[in-house]
Amino acid sequence: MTNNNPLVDFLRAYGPSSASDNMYDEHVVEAARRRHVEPISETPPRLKQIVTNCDSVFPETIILTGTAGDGKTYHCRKAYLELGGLSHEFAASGKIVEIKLPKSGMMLRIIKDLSELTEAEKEKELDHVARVLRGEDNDKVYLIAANDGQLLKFWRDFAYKHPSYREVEETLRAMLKDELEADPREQLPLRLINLSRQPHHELFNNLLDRVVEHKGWDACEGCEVCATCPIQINRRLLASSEDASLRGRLTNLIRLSAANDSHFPIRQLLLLIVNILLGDDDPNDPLLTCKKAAARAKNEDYRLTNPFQNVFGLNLRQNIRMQYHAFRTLDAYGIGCETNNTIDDHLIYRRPEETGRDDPVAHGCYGLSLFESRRRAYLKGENDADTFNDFRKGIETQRRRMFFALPASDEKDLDPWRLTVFQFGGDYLSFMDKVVRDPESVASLKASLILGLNRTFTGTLCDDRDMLWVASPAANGHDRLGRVLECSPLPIGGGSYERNLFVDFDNKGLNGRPCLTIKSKSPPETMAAMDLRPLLFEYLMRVSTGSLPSSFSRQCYEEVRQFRLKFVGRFREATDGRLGNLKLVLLNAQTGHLQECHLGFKDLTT
Amino acid sequence: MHAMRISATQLELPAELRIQNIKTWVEEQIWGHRFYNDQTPWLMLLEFLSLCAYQAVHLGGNRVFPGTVEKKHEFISYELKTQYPLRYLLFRDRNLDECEREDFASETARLDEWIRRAKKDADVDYGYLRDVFIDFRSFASAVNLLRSAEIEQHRDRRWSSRHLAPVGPDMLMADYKPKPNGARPEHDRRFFARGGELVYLMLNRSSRRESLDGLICSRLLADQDRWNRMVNKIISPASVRSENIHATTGYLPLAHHPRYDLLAEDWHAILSLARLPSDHLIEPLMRITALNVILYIIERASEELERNPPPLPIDVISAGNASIRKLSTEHYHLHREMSREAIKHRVNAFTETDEWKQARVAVNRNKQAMDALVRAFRCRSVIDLKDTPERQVEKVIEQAIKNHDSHLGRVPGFQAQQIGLAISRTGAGRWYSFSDSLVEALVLTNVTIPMEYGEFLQRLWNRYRMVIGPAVAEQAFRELPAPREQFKANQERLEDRLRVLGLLRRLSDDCAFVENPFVNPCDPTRGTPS
Repeated sequence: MTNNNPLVDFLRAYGPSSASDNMYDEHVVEAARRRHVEPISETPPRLKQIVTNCDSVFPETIILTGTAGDGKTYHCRKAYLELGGLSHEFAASGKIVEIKLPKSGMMLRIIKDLSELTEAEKEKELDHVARVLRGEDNDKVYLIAANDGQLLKFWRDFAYKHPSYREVEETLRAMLKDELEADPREQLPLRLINLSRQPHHELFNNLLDRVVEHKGWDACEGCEVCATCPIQINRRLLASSEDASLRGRLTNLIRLSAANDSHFPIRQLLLLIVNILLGDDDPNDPLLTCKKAAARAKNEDYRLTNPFQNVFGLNLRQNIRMQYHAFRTLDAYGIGCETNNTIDDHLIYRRPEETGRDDPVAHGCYGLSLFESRRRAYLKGENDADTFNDFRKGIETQRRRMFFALPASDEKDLDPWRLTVFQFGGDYLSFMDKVVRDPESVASLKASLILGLNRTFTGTLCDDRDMLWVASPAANGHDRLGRVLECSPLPIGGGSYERNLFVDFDNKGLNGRPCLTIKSKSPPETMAAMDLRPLLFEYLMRVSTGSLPSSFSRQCYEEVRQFRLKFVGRFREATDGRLGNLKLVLLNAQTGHLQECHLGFKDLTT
Repeated sequence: MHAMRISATQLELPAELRIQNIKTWVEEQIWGHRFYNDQTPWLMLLEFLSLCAYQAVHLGGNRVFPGTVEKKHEFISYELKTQYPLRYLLFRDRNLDECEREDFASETARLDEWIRRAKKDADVDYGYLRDVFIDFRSFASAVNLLRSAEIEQHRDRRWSSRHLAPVGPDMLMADYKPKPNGARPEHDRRFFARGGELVYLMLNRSSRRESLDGLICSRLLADQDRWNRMVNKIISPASVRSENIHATTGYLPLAHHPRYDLLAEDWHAILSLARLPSDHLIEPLMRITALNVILYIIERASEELERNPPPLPIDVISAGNASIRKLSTEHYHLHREMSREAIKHRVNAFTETDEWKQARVAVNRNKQAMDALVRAFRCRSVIDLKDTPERQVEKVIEQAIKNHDSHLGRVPGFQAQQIGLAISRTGAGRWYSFSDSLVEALVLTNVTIPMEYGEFLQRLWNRYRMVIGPAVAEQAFRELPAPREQFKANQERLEDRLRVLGLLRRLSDDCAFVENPFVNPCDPTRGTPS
């Protein structure tokens, strides 16, 4: 007798479906209520800050921004409840709801979603907001959920019509552009909270726990297929919290994507989790039900419920899959297509035997057994188009599993990141963690980055890792060979060197990203900074291991070029004409190192 | 678009300006004398800077522009230095490489030999270089470094028309036709064809003139710049042969025009970028100047025809965007056609005047007509007393068009291709597009505080009549001339390109900002402490 767990039905609501998800939050709450299941609820990261603000004696207006699916409306609802409001009142109140704040006596006016308002309503409300911000109305304070773009557009038009509010628009624009939470001039009582700028990998972990440890799973007890049910198998796989696991590697991918400015909104995280758990390669219905799961278990059709394929949304048709941000982002890593000989050897020839500890269950139903017949066919030499196609798909599936199964290894060829386009992805994550906490431990990564920069700047295959040579092409600017040395080579770190200028790595980039900077000691100043996004990090590492600077990424080449220009501009401004003669930099063919070359003028007066 | 208030009257030609070898004076009345298709945008900029350098010395007080006198056309007489010794060294000498390769007893001997050979080839005594450089190697490095700073190296020009990217006044050289046997070099106006002079006059007549004086002097004519100092060391001022070439400025018909002010604003914007090193200013200046010249040509033609200037639809994608490409191609040709029509219009407008009407019906009407035409268009060599008045008019138009087609008519298209505003493909035609360098120049010129992407596109329309996305297309055309999705895709593609070039940041689905990385001296760091 198979059970029919209502939790499974409920979870399907979070998954990829064609239902329009305008008021997503309310839709999910409604679904939960209908099935008598507790909704997945996670304390929203900024809730405390919002409630504390509203509960204070002088509350400020808060604007919540962020991409669709980041829980703006969810935050509003939770805040309302925390402040004493009732759930059904929130649901029934339409686009705007008000609640009295006990401590300050002010009225909190919550706009649940600015995009839902008509033009006339927006005009009226934002006019009022402007007056509140300028201190012309001390009875009200606002909490608004809005999309940055619309907010800015609306306010720009508004300020055009009401020139006296131009200041508000300018402040808002500056805050949005520089991602500031408060008015830098400390004049407007306003907080701008961007929900897309939260580190979501922690949230991902918590959400996973909520799903995997939900009380509703108790209802599976007694079901006859419980031990072999693909849903349960996938659930166990998701529960594992080792580094080499679905959870561990996905967390890494999410962190890496966030650092690359490709953020996963909460809605997408839930979608991903549910798709991994319930994904089924069935064109009629991409998610399992209890009934289907039982059928799969009986027929041992595990190849259709493979969670390692589901991670990438491969249970969905291509055009549908690409509509979801989560799958688009993960697809970009190329997992399944990237590989090297060592890993493929293991998969095809089983060499060496025991590479990577595998969960025997996973190994059992999703592992090499899935692949066995195709492998044999390949080894036998059956290479017609169809067989080979099957083989190729099979090995791609295995590579995807290997990415989640291979432990991090000192042996570079067996590093799981070799299975992605970010070959240095693992290095990036440890760099991000340790660059400030334990700089010595990432010294060799720093050296490689400097080498990458030197090669890009000078256009030579030099071997200099301990100093940065800032070389520019001659005046015309389009030459790739950097010949003019802008200043003496810069050491890494302030250290004990006597030079005033030096290279430093800090984590002051957006979201705590690592940043490569050129600083001066006196006066203490950061002269130029370059955010080390994973793509740029990858670029520099690849150049340091032999790639040509202009081949891997045009975008990165331009970023490096701009970094140089910004430094040179600032440097010349600072030295203000006290520059000496032109200096050249040359690559010494014998030593492979760069050297300074003064243009030997006899007259030393400059 | 702001309404065009143009002074309908043209300035009179300055008496001192002598017109020679001109068959008709029609297009010059509309656009000026002259823009010429052999003059690339780089050379136009160099001609302009050479004139500025001369004026900076002669006007003194950090000024470059003399200003205007009401109703009087400027007449400036100036000189350009041929800089023969430098030219020889950079662009004619072969001995440097040879001497580097051969064996010599000592480095001193090596340098001595080079000096000897140079004296023989160039008739210049470079002996002073012994006191400038410590050895031959240094000398060779310096020369090679300078050679690498040549502009438009791929063009195979005569040595007297090759130039360095100018970072200081001593790097500017005259462009001329060399004469054999030491005869005086001739300013043949082939490459320094007066385009730079017209740009100079435009800026002189703009409302921003005074603010540009100081900026041009400090950023483009700084003789303390390292490159300039190096060049100075290499050319000894004393007793070395360098003649001057004399020149006088050309003719620009209108005393005021909105385009003069737009050009000046663009110059002001670029020169004000404190964080952009000076040697990186000239390339965007080159592009933006040519862009404004192209628009001037189109606008003047439109004014002559009393029509609205047709917009410039830009095909950013250049693959699979068929309707936009077609629209762009059509407008490219339309602009070209318009200037020809403008010429016809100018001559035909003359036939509406009383003077002409009386001449036509006079007794000796051929002679009367001819005199009237010659007074208006200086076309004596084109018409014959035997021609009827109508035939005479036809001949004037034919000659003017013929001339136009070989020269000014080609300028907009040619310059557009040079600056990355237009693409030409065999079999597919020519249309307006954007190269990466042009995109960067547009951002550097137009963006100070970060600007929302939509606003940036609007600005490109307001200032340069460029149409890229659907919102602007609706303003430019009464009905959308191509499917909205194509305009949208066009706009998104430009956004992508801006992002790859590091000039755009996307905050969320709806919100992208175009940023100029070389502005904001108060905040050299990016990113905020979280």
